[in-house]
Amino acid sequence: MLVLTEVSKWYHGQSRIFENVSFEMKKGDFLYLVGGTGAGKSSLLRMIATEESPTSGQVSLFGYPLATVSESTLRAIRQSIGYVPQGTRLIPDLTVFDNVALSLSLAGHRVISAASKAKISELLNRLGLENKRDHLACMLSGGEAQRVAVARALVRTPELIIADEPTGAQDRDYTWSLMDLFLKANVGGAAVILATHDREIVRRVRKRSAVLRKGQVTLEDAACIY
Amino acid sequence: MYLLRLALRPWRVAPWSQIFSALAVGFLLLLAGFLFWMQDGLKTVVVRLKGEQVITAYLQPSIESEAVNRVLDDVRGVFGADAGVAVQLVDRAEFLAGLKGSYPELVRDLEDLGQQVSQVVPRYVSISGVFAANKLDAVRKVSGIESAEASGDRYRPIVGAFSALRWIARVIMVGICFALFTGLIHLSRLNGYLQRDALGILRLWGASSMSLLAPGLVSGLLVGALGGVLATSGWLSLGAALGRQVRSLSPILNHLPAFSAQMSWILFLIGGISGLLAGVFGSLSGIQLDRQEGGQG
Repeated sequence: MLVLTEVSKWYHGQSRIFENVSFEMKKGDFLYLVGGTGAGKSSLLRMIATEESPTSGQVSLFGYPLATVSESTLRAIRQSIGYVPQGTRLIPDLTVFDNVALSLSLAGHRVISAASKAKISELLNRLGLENKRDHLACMLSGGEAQRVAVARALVRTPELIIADEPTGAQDRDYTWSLMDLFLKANVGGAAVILATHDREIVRRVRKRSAVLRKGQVTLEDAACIY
Repeated sequence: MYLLRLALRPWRVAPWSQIFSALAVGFLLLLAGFLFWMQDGLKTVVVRLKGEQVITAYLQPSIESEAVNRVLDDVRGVFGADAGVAVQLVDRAEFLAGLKGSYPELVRDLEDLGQQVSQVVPRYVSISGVFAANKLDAVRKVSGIESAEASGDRYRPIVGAFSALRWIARVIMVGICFALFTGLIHLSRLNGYLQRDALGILRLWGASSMSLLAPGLVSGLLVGALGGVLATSGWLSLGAALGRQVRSLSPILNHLPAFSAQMSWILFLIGGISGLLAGVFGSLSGIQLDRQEGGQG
């Protein structure tokens, strides 16, 4: 499903963020991406989410190399991804409900169907956002916005979930609610790659990890890395 | 629905930019419409001025008074049913009366000639209007006409001036259209920048090209259409008065056509289409900018 081959990234005038990163993920895999602040986790996830291109190397998603894929195929790939960016990036003009519904609509689902509305409501309920559904996204707290971003990513039942620090602004209860949702999606067949600083999560939910340190990625098995 | 809300974002965030742009579009459209009306109307005036002339046909001195009407009828027959052709006999008394104001002594001397004045002062038929060049020869062949001459090109300097005016009006129209479209494109780029964050998210979530273009299209269309409405209102409310004012400047301009209500709809359509096209350019540049910054297709 996801193949990184000798991928390197640096920005103009800066030193390399990471280099020669190679790993694969199959359907149903769960991978933590861990590393210190500034290690390049977000850059790596943005590349996988097709938001940026690698400076060198190749990223392939669902068997398609992103460098040469057609516009229509790229669009289809993006519709199969659920991305939770670090900055949430909700559309402030839209309500909570509409931000989540828009994701579903862009994935080709009919938003107006009762089943779709029920699915969105259920997700919002689980994340404690039922009272905020008609609030504009710009009126939410950081933690609420982050939960909306997760709901937006998961509502479209993606094949690949990319989450960048999705629990960073959450209390313990919501942290585990979110992890519950990710794990449930993973059990349902979605591959999940999740960047986190939270050692407790990594300790309690043992999964394979990719440790980003000094520009290199080391893959660790589900043994405790902390 | 979501895209429509996104399209309205510039109206929430930068309303005065949209409003003033719409006002500018309306004014420029109205000005362009007026210039188009004028240069198009002047074509009729120029054609008329080019063709309008005066033939002076001198009657033979020997023609008796009773035969003069026959000659007049024959001359009228040359022009047949030509509308707007005026045929007028100027007899000796009228001729002398016309000279008296400027040359009173000459007129007294001529009057003192008595019967011999018929040898000196001609009778002539004055034919004025717009007619073909071959009519002069036809008039010369009329029995009782001694000679005839045409004024020919008497309005040439005015025709030249009006032709130049038409060209200048067209150049200014092109300039106005260029300014209008440039202004709309810049506004659309501003609007595209205001919508950039949301468009980036939409692109990342797999939005189609049409979905990405839609907010910019609608934003541009709104401004262009509003400008078109303003131009239409201006045309319908001020057009008739403006047209009357221009036509009253000179008798020559009386042949300018009246302002037509149809033009107001054309102005509205041009405003809307310009806004739509500018919205496309603005959207494309916004998407391109987002791609360049992201470094991804």
